[in-house]
Amino acid sequence: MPDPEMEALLKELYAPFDAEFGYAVDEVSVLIPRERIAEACSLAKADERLGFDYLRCLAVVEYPDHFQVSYMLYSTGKGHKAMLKAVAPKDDPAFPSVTCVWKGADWHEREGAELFGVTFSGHPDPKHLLLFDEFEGVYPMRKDYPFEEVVEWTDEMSAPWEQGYEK
Amino acid sequence: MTTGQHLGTVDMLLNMGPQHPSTHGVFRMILTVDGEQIQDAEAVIGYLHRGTEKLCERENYRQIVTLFDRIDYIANFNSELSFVMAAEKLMGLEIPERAQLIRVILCELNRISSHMLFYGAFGTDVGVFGTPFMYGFRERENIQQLFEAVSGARMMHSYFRVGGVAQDVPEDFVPRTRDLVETLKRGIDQCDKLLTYNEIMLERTRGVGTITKEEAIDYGLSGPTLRGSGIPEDIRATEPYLVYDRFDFEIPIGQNGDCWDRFWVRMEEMRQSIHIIEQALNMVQDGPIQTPVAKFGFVKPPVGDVYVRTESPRGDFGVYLVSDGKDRPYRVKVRTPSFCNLMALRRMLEGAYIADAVMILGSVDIVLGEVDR
Repeated sequence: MPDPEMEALLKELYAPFDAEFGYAVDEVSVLIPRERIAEACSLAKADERLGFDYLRCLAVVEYPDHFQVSYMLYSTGKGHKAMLKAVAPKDDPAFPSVTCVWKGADWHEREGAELFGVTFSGHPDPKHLLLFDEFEGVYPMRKDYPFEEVVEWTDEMSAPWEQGYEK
Repeated sequence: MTTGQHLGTVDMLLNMGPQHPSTHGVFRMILTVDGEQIQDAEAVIGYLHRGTEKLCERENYRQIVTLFDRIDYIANFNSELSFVMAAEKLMGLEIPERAQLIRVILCELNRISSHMLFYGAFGTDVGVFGTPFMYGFRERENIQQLFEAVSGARMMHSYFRVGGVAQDVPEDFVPRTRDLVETLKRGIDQCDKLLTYNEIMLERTRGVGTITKEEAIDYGLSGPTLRGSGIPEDIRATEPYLVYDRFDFEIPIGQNGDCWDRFWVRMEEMRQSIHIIEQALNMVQDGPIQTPVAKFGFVKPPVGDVYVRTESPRGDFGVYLVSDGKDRPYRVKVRTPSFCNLMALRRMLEGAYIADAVMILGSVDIVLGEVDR
């Protein structure tokens, strides 16, 4: 189910952006160069016909050769929806932060940053959110992070004062 | 003569949680207080982080339903629904009408049982110890027994499948649900009379923890927390999924965006859910309950991505699903309502008193399982 009206509007708005258009099933998705993604977001929010004032979701995805951030936009008054995307190479996974456009992006970006190791430059409070502080330099949502193996419990794993019981 | 005006005050850090009986789970707030007044509040989450999104990349589509049960463990059916609908949308599956109606009825019942838990917990937060909890849990128990009859489990139902539901409902499902609805109506009225317009309740909750329309949208709030601020956004009405476009129901909205409004919206929502269930029960016909794909479990969505959101009791429950054409997802991002609603807690607590902090948190109705995933 394509959405030609929204597609035309977005094509007009993002004409100077060197954008690529596609579909996520029935939602228009626009791939924007990552340096201009924050600008594109504030433009989408400020535009009267679109009025994307609500950020539904912000998701980081790791593909074999790049990172992608998807921004799901929504306008509360008009019911419009669209998806913006930006990609960054593996060796330089940096995106501009959109917290200045929607405050609701705050925790989504912190979560994406700690789980995938991408950076959102300009984020006001880039701390750990879900993981504990010692999780530095390790990114559990990356594809190369292993699932924990099931390990048989041995006596050496017990605390020193518990070792040697129930043998 | 006033004393102490020339003395500077020092802000104090106050830790609430993570082991705090009234924080609704393992949740920590670091409050900066000036006397009794809260200057700043920082939410510390993650104590319940289980890496559900990562686990989803390892399991196949049928197994993932069980993981989604554990994301929002108060409204299991609603969180299952978002995931199965995301996979169905990506595959372009049409679901038999009977399955859709069963889903609607169970999700609405789950909404009532979730709001009943909120009612009990919020009563305790406000300071009525015991009675609201007992009233709320009495109604929940009836609903829970119906869920057990349908799915075999009181919680963690694993009942929805990509393409339908796991098995047909018991033969007496429709008459039994009709009886339940009558009981619930009485129960909701009783709960309403006990608390909603109680003088102490009004005094404590009106004008406390206020959040304006603009802020609510900016923070991406959803569900009763958004509607309490006066924005008529309900995904069941604005972006109808399943068969919600056939039902006649209203969207209750608050006036001021304070704690009482959020409470009242939930009370009214329960009545609207009853109304939806009654209409759905009249529509239920015999027929298939799943498409063949659900029966044999060959779920392999095509390459692509999709974002689906549904209205869970706490708000907008979204699933972003990326598939690479294999039998397990490439990436699943779960946008949970409490996670986003909790972002606005800092704003709500600003200028409030310590005594109200727990109540304001309670009015957002968080489930830490879905905040941390």
